[in-house]
Amino acid sequence: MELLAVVGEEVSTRDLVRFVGIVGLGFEANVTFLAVTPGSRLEFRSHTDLAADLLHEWEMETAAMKKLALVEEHLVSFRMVMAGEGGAPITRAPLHRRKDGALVRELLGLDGQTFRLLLREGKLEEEVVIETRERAYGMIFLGMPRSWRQIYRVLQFTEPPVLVIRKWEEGEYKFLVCFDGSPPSWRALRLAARIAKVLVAPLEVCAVTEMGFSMEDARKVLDKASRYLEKATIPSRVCVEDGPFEKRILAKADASTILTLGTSRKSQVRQLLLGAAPLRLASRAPGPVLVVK
Amino acid sequence: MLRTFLFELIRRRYFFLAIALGGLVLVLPRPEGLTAQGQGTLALLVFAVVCFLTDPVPLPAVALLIGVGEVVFGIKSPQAMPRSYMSGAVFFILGSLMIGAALVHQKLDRRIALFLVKITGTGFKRVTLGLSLLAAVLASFVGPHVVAATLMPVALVLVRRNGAPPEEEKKMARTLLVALAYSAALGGFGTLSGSARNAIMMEYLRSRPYGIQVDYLEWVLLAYPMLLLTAPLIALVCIWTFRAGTKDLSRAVASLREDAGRSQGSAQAWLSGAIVLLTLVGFFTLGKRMGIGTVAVLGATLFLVTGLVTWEQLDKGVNWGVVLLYAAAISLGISMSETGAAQWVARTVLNGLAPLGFRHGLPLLFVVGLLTMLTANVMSGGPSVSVIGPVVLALGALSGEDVALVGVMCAAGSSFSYFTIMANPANSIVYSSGWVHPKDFLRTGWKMALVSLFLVLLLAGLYWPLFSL
Repeated sequence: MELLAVVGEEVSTRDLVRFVGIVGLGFEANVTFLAVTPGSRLEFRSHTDLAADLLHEWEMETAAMKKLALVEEHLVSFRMVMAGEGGAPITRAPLHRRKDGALVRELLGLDGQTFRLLLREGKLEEEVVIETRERAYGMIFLGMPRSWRQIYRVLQFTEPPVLVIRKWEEGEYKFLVCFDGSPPSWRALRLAARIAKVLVAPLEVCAVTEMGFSMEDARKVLDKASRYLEKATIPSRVCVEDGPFEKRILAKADASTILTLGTSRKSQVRQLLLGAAPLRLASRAPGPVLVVK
Repeated sequence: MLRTFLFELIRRRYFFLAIALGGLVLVLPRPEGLTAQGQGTLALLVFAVVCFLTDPVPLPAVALLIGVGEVVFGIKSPQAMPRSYMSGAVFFILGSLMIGAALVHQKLDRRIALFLVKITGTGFKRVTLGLSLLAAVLASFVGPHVVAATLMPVALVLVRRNGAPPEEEKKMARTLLVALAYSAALGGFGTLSGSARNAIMMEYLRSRPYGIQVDYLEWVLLAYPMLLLTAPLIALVCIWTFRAGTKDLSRAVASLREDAGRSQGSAQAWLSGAIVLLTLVGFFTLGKRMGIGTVAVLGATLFLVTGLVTWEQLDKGVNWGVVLLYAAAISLGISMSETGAAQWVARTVLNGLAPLGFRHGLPLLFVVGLLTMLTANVMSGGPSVSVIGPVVLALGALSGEDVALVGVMCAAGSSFSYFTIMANPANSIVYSSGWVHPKDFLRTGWKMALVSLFLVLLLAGLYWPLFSL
């Protein structure tokens, strides 16, 4: 499995690396840490590349390279990558330019997997979409970027599940899965269960009775979810809420809740054009939000 | 599928907007005094301006579409269009970019660093002043991007090796880097080889209907006082704005001397210096007879034949797409003049300016300088001169002003790239270091804009009239 972690502006790189690193090691997945630097105009691009080369000769780095160096530093400090003599990480591939122009460096993970440090130039949301189109990623960890528009674009135009990490609180985490028995909500539940197992985090499955989804329906689907989680040996609770979906869910979530929800396939066009509940929830939730398609 | 289609559509929305706006200009009823070809040229201009502003597709694609448009709208014949892409100015831009790329490979940064601290000593203010002057003078000959890329590490070494607290380091870095970017950008105005925008203006002046030949020396005499007056003021404004408390850089300078001293005096460096000098002498002495484009390309070739640089290094270091972009911009600009579109826009603008009293003399030059400065800050200097140039020259001709001086004012305004990162490669380069924030350019920019406009008008009123081009 391949995981993509996007280094955001508003979340600490240390927290992102720690969380994604733990999940990556738990899943035995290769992890790509992507930093996106604002693209300079075409007419200046070769000049800024040249300046970066000259800075490197003086043993200094550009802001974008510093971001990647920071990721590497944290990977080493959390002992997620194999270190050679002197504590330097063992590289699987030295810093090089890929065919699409992105700069990449590969480190050897503790369990033999690859930690990839990737630098792309352009608009963050566009570069994430392009990167996920070019490589099959199983999940995206999106460190909070500067604007919500960027999150909307990533959620709208990428296929893999997206975990938006807005703010990372120290301490225990718990999952709150919004569940209605639909295929996307089942996918959300399965993914949340996998991550919860790795993080040893409690999980709560919640159904909200609203617009034709009765209390009886809710109990039925929650029953199925409980049985699944029991089988998977994941400690869990279920709950039923009555009232407006977004309001009820937000009332239950706090900063240490990973809010998990699936998006409905039926409303894909509508989502693309108008946005949808997951997008609104992602912008209003106090903690991380995991959106599964 | 739908997702991909919508993503691509949103990504390129400004390209479609450019086509729509260009199309709108084409289908609007033609105003009196504007020919059909002129209307087609204006449609292409609108398309190009939106693309220059928003960068929605690779700009070489825009450059090629300009040529296609010129043929499709009957502005140029299929035979004339390709010819218009390869003028003397394009050859000159090509040669200058090649020389710049070749120079970067000569590892001159450490020698320049030594020279800088030798003339300035260790005082922070003196170093800032020295850096500004040195950057402006060097950029006037080899281009702002080469100077900014070469001197940025030097400035950062001085900041990082002085042992100041992080907050103080930030202030020092902002002072030195913003001063470096502004001075390098301004330095580009100093000579014809300093920046592509000067070469573009030179080509517009040379072409019909003006036929004014500006040589290298004449440009230097007109532009250099501006550069020498403004560079120290840039340093002062940056020192005043960022208020670094550091007075002495002895520690950093000692470390820099030690570092730079290890790489002194290679024959390669002397040879490359000699080639640059020879090329400059060629610009001054042979420019009028052979064309400065020929001299520039000869200089670039000398780097290749002496083995100072390989073709692969030049190939990698020169942005060929930019050469194509300027070629298209010049072709479009000349079409503006030839089809009468520039004159029509100029007449319309002049009618609007007349009641405000900006019709003649210094007020008109002020409008030209201000307009070019503003457009340069949103679409960068080269494209700005390309699209504004033909109009302001027509404006000068209609109002009876010295067209050459109007052209020089336009080039000067395009070097006042004080507000944005995209205004000049030097700004982009120092921003990429991560030490400078976009708002730092705004903080210093408005002060420098006022100072520069005042100085350039002073020169235009008192000094430039001494020359007749």
